[in-house]
Amino acid sequence: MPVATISGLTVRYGKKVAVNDLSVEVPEGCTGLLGPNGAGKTTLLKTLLGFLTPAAGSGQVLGLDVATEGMQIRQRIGLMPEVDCHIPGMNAVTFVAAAGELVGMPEADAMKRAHEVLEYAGLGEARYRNVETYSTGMKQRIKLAQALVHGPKLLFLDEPTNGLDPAGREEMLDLIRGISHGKGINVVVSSHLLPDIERICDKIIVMRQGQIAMQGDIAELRETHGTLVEVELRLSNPGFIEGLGKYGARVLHQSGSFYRLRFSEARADLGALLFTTARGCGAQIRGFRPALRSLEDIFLEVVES
Amino acid sequence: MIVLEHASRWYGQVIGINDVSCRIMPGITALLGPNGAGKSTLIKLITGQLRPSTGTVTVLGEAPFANPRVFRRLGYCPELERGCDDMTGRYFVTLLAHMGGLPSASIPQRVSEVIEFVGMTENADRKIGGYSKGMRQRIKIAQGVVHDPDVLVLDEPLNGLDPIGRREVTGLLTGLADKGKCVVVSSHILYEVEHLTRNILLMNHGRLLAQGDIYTIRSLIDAHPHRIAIRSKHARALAIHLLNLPYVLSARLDAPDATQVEVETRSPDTFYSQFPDMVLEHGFDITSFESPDNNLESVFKYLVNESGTKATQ
Amino acid sequence: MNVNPPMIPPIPTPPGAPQESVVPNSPIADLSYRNYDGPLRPPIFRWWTVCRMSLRLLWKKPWFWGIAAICLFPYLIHAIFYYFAGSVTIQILAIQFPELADLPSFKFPLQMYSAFTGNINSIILLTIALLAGAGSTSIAADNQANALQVYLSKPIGKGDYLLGKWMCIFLSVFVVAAIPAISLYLFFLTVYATQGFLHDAPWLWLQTLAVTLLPAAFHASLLVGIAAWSRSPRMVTAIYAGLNFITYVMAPVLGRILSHVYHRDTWQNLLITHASLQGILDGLAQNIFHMPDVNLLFIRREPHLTPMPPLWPLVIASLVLMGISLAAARAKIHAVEVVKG
Repeated sequence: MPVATISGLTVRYGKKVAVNDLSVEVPEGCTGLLGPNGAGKTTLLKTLLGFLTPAAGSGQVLGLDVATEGMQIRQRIGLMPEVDCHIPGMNAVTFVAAAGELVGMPEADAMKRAHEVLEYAGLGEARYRNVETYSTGMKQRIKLAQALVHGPKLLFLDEPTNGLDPAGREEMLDLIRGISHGKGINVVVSSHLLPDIERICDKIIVMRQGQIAMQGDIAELRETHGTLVEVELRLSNPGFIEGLGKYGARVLHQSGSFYRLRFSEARADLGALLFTTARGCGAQIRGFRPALRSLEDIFLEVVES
Repeated sequence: MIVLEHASRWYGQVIGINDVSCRIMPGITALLGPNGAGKSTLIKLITGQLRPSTGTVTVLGEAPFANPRVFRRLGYCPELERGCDDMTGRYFVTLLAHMGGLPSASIPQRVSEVIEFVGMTENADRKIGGYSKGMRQRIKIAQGVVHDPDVLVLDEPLNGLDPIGRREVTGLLTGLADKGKCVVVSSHILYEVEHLTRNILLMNHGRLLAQGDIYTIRSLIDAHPHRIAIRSKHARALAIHLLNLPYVLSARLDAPDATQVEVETRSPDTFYSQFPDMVLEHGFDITSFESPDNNLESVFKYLVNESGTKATQ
Repeated sequence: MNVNPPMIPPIPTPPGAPQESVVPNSPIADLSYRNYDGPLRPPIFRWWTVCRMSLRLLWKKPWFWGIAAICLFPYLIHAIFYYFAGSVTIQILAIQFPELADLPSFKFPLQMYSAFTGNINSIILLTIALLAGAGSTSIAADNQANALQVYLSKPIGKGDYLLGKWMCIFLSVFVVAAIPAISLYLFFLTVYATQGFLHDAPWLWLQTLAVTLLPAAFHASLLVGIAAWSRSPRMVTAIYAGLNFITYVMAPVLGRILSHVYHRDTWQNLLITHASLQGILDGLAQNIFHMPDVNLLFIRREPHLTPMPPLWPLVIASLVLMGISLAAARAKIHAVEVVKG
């Protein structure tokens, strides 16, 4: 059952048409929202939150109409904005509790829940310090915490790993994965970092110029049914490629000693084949695997066609 | 082109960088490290905004601090985005072209060239205040290269770009490096850095942890032997055979009916030469095998975490 | 492999609590993310939540109450003064200004008005307003920290947010202005009830209330308007304090110049003398207490009684200023920035 449905949506900013006759169903689970800058993702997001009145079309989120029931929608969803935002003068606990109270939680519940959610987000003693003294990583965590405090059924995350160093990025992705899998919370992640999306999302929606360019299941889209293979040799070896060519392999891409090959059909004995060919021309294989199409390739294909 | 010799810089009591010695040659070098590692201090030293407290910093043969001769051949694209919102993109780049010392007559032409180079021709005459993040990045790069510098320093240049933009900017930077420029890129997004270059400068707590080629560094990390993950229907039987080999230190299976075995070895080369023979001899069916930690992310994790634990001991 | 939980008596679930099992199934607690299924109030009176949050931040600060306490002094001094020397002063004044003797209920409203419009009082009230409306609880600070992205992504409307912020300033100023005034009123009531206090000044309590509401509403509206357009709390403080000060100094000077130039003291000149932010408030207070401008403690050089300024221009001016500020604030508040292109 889709978590949100949009049909025939048209949104205009003055004379400019941001989104034109858009129809999409946001599936359950964790979905990635992708698209080049200016594709209309922010507009779609704002419409789903009930902020924009569409010029035409309709939509509903969690069964509530976006044009008339914006307040109720915002009571059931959480938003983690892209930019740094906080309420000045507060520490993390007060801030997250305040966010909960703004949604309508009773004071005591809000405080209790704020601590719980901050614990989950990994903020220890630091939660009693003023938010203005926080590092980027901590600010991102409390942004996530304030979106989660009221137990929303649908969560929108806008560039959740923005500005985080590699360790922080991993932790944030683990947090998001922990919420979206097995807890019954639907998550929509908008990001330009496709490996992040690959890691946490199961489905994607790709937008382009105010329209939906493509949507689908990541695993399915990436599947190549064994015809794509990546091989890394110790040193580049044209003889190896020739040898494989006899079995129907073509080089798609090469960088140094790393090859991406397409076979005309999937081979059950891939390992044996590669090792034998390598032995035959004195190459040393350092790794091989049946490759999946990268999300980046899928994205670029869709957007540039 | 850039040489640091025992350079240190502190702010009062707080250490920025501590006894860093390195040579940055032409090509793309990635400057990596957790937040607070000293990357911004290093960048400020190289771009001549600070003087080292001790040691020397030399860029193109001279100390860069307040040195117009160096500035003329140095381009800098900082992370900051505020401050120029009222100017148009073209005006901004022209302004910096003048400051870069280009002869006035050639500036308009050069500015148009550079704006086209970064793909901003359509939007160059709009105010920067109305730009998206991606556009700001491109204009920043434009102003950095307008005076054709030999050294270019970029702080998080790919931040906020969509995948198309990212590919374009990566192409720009690789193009510049191919022309023999020295490009230093500071970034947190490791998988992008891997696409850009194999040459890194890794810092933590103000010290230089490692510099050079990622794979060379990896092979020198003794504390973490190479891990090789092999997928096969006969994972368990394979594991038993692998443990017979003397240079295999451990074999790990995840479940009773595992389809993957992970081995550790300190001699990956020997392993790679003997493994195929063993496989073909016994007829094991191998679906894939690869080294999961022979990449930048693992190098980063191992070195940074180790330096972190040492620091707290 | 089930391990029996330790022998602890089960905690009775209070009625209305979320439905979850209180005694865990496993000795190791599950600390992963847990959903919230508790009550969520509907978005009515959400402005009160905003107001309460701001007030909590503000009223926790000790120096807020320190400054507020200073407001007590003018009233205290007036009470003491009146207790010891009360009617003597009135008689002296009645000799100097015979028209005052005609006003039947003059004494107590005079005291109240004079205590209220004493310089210290208006400065303190302005300071309190600035603390509430241009400090860390202000809309300007929220703009700086992008707090609106947090506020408006919750079920709360623009009106709720603005009303909450307005109410915070209003309540802070009103409480600081009203408590000393009402204390003075009660003092008069207890001490002078038998001497005709209630007969002389039956509406004093209403006048006091009205007069203390005035600066609260006025400062609140203007500050909300100014703060909404600024990203810097310090700028708002500087602008508003500056506006108050400059107009307060310039208006009487202008009035006096004009009266000298035109050689007459018309009601228009009087109005111009009151053409400052504080002047409007003073003028309205005068009208509410029905007082000419008489300064008991700080005697003027000329024994000159300035009459009350006309009421309606003041009312219109104040309503127009408040209206414009509130409209400006409402126009400026919006949630997510739209990036064009």
